Amino acid sequence: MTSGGNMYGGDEVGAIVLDVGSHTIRAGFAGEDMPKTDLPAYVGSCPAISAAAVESAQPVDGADSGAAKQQQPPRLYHGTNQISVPRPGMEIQALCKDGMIEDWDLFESTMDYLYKHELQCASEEHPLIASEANWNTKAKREKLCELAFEKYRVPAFFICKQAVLACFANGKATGLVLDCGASGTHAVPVFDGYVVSHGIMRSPLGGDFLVRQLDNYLRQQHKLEPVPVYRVASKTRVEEGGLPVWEAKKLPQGITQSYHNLMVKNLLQDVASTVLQCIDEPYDQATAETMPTVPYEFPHGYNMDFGYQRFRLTEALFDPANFLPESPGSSMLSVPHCLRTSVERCDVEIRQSLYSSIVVVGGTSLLKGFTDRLQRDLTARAAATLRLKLLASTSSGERRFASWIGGSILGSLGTFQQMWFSKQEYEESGKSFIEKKCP
Amino acid sequence: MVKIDKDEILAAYEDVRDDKTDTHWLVLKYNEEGDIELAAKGSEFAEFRSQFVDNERTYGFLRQYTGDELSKRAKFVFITWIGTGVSPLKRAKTGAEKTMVKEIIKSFAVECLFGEENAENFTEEYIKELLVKAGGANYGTGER
Repeated sequence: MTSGGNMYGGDEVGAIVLDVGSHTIRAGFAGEDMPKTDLPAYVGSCPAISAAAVESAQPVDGADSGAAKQQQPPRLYHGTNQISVPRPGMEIQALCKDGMIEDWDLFESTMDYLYKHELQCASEEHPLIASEANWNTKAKREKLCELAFEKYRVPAFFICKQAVLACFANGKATGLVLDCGASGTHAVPVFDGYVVSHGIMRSPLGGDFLVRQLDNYLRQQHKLEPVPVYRVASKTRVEEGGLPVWEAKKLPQGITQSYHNLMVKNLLQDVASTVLQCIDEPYDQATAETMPTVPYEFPHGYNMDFGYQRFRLTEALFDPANFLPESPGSSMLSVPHCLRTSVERCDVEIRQSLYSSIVVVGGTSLLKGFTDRLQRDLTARAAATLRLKLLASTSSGERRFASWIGGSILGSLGTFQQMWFSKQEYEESGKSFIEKKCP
Repeated sequence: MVKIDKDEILAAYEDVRDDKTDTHWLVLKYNEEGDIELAAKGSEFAEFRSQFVDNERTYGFLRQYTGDELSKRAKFVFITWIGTGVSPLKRAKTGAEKTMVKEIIKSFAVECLFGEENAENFTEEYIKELLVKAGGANYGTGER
């Protein structure tokens, strides 16, 4: 065996697969069907007890006062359970920006939490496969590589683009990955296991966008202030559209705005996933009004029926020019247009193979009617001879965790074991060698 | 690593290949431990087809006859089946495990993969077509 060809993985030692996204972080062991954990990509941070408070509590002593003046590091909270508790002064901070890891200290604390509490294993014993954004920078990859080897002392490391992993999860090495996530919708062409970087098309129209649209609609047209669960102590049943009757919970002082915003966002995501639907053809008011309505009861008791707005709100994904209220006539790309432009940027020879394997992944793609509408819009504008095939897994877990599953597959393949970037190679050639090892 | 019951499968393989016996097919499935073993063998196509169900991965080896009125030849088909509902991880592993099966089931004219997408093609006629196409030139008067 060569120095880089150490055997890892297989049945003896499970590799750990880490998939970092803007909405959640997925982690688990290679060879499994689903990630072990799906953490929100947010960390709650409570400031340390201030030096002044400590000083006033203790008698002033020559040696002690110097130590008391030092700031304690903030107390950090990870995972849905911990960050959902209303704590005074807890600021919620996001780990990622633009799909890439932004706050490295918080990320490191999340990794510590993952290894200790969720995966419950020693980082030195398991090789690590990480996924990265399809437009990740060289500096960030090297930083992650350095973190993995220096701090966590992993025996081997590999990093792979999310679109490639999503393709593997659907059994393809070539395809056009349409990732409809929280931060936006991205069309990424993958050819023979490599991302065609100049073909990447990004649109901000994604899950977070839909949540903002819903928020605006509720506030402006229903004059409804969404009240999240943490504020409600009890509620009484009211008739549809009636003023809500509820009792506020006694909460500690100092609940931060960022915490409140996250809780409201979670609530609206629940509303969106229950209520929103994509209509099969380009939006028509009359048709939308004939469709069945869906009721929703808010945590504070207010309940309403969502009618044609269910379809109108999602129409912005397919026709932003007409349905984006803030910027009418905008040139922002609709989802099908984003897809087509992505393919058009690629070499003519590979276009047919891209169209015949369009891999749809991402949580937002689970919207009712999304894939049907997408199929319809693409075939309507495509040439008759074009063979279009949408690969959209029916299981919601397979769509949301597609890149994690791809990593799991990769980590358990026998042929992958010689591809690892081993600790020895890192020590010999340094972190920049990752560019050669993980293209 | 997935284990495979070499001797039993080899015996069944020879049985299907043997012109004198009535066995026309064999089917391999995964048992609870995840190892590959011989599940069934027989002579009727209908029974063979019924072995391939959803949520399972199955391998099959089938004997068919091609040829014209002057010469009839036995041809063999190796089938890999990945049913609806099989997880992406298992789908990916099938490629490597198929290689292990092929170390025992060595000789066949045609290899097919059937699954959710082309399940309706999994018929005797379609397989016969594939064998005829793989068989080269068609001499004879066209009668069979």
